[in-house]
Amino acid sequence: MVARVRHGLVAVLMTCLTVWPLVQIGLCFRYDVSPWKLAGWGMYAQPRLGASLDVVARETPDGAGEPLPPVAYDVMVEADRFLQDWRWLRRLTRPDRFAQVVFDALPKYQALEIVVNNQVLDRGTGLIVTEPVRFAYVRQPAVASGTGGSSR
Amino acid sequence: MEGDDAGVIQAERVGRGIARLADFLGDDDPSVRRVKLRVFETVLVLVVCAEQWCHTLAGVRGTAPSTGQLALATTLCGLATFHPRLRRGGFAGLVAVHVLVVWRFFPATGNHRYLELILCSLALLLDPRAEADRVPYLASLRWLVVVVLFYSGLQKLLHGYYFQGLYLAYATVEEHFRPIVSWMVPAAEAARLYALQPTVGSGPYLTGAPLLVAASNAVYVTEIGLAALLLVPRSRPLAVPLVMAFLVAVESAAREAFFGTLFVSGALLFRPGAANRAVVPVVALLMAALVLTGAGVLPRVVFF
Repeated sequence: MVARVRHGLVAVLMTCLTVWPLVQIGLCFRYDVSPWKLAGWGMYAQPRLGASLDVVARETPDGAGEPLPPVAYDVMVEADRFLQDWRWLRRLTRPDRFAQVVFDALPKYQALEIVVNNQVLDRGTGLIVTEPVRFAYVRQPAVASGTGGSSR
Repeated sequence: MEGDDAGVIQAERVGRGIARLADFLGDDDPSVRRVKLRVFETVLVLVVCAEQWCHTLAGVRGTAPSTGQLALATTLCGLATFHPRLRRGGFAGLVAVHVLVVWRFFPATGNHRYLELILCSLALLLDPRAEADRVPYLASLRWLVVVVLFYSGLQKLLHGYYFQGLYLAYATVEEHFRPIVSWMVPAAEAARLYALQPTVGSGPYLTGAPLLVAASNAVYVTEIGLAALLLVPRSRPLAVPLVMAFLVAVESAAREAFFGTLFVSGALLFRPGAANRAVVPVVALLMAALVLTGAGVLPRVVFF
């Protein structure tokens, strides 16, 4: 490869690396993405706290909600996979696949509410608090993913 | 036609601007640039090889290829980089290994892995033996150091956990942060912080200790300030030792040996001459110690 092409590639690479952290910062503030990851160089800018899942299932979309009964191992694996992604990507990811796995495992339920309880260190009080993020899913015949929306 | 001419002139201006910036950042004694860059590459190879072996020894699992296979591939590629004819192939292999690692652990991939991928990519594209490559290579590496320092400070400023010392107080949930925090807060307050469990409802992690608040704010001010000082050639003699001192202070708590070593090596590129040669035996010993610690031969003192 000629020097001019290689130098051009390096200039493009360095420009991208200079601009990318601004995009990553945008993702942090728009989607709660962790500053620790995705090459935004924000390590130690924010405490790394976890999240937990609550799932409410309904036999009809308007019916009474009930906690999810004990589920199979693959459902737990999917929940864990989602939480691992959620820890860093937050609202840049969604529990669509987890919802589908739950629907597949428990055919009697027609609707799910998945609540992700984010643990956050509150800057005002200095206490660890939870900030729930909700995703609603309704089973759709022959449609693979949920039709959830989220609210915070 | 006029539009084309204007485009060409604009492109030439941009090209001249980049060349001027490269000269500014790559300004150094031409006779030592090659040595300086090869030393940096040596440190890079030592770090990536040691890190991959430490992951293997720590039992980090993943889908095939195994971490052991990746460590072996990293070592072979690393060795190849020292042979003039195999150098480019070696760095191409290291880029491939790092792409795989970034992909496999995404989104949990650590930022030091991205940094290593970028550095290996630069080494693949540029060669210290080619005179024309030396200035852009040195300039790119120096620019990376500035970018990482600046954004590290900016992110701390924007996320707001450092204004009241909240991050440092919370960080004491990890024991290795306690020695550095303990001399900044009264003993009773330190004991209260250490007793807190990081569960919902725990806290407050606000201490109000003036020294902790001052040190906390000094972190991002120092990072952003040092990035600016490194940029200006006249302030570099002051900035480089300050960066070293800052890194020692940070690593005494954070203990990220691989990232810290790469960063020290990068910061030394701002020093005149090939002063960075002196760090190679130190880095080799440190990396050997880390691998031996991972293998259980040496007692566990510090780790990534």
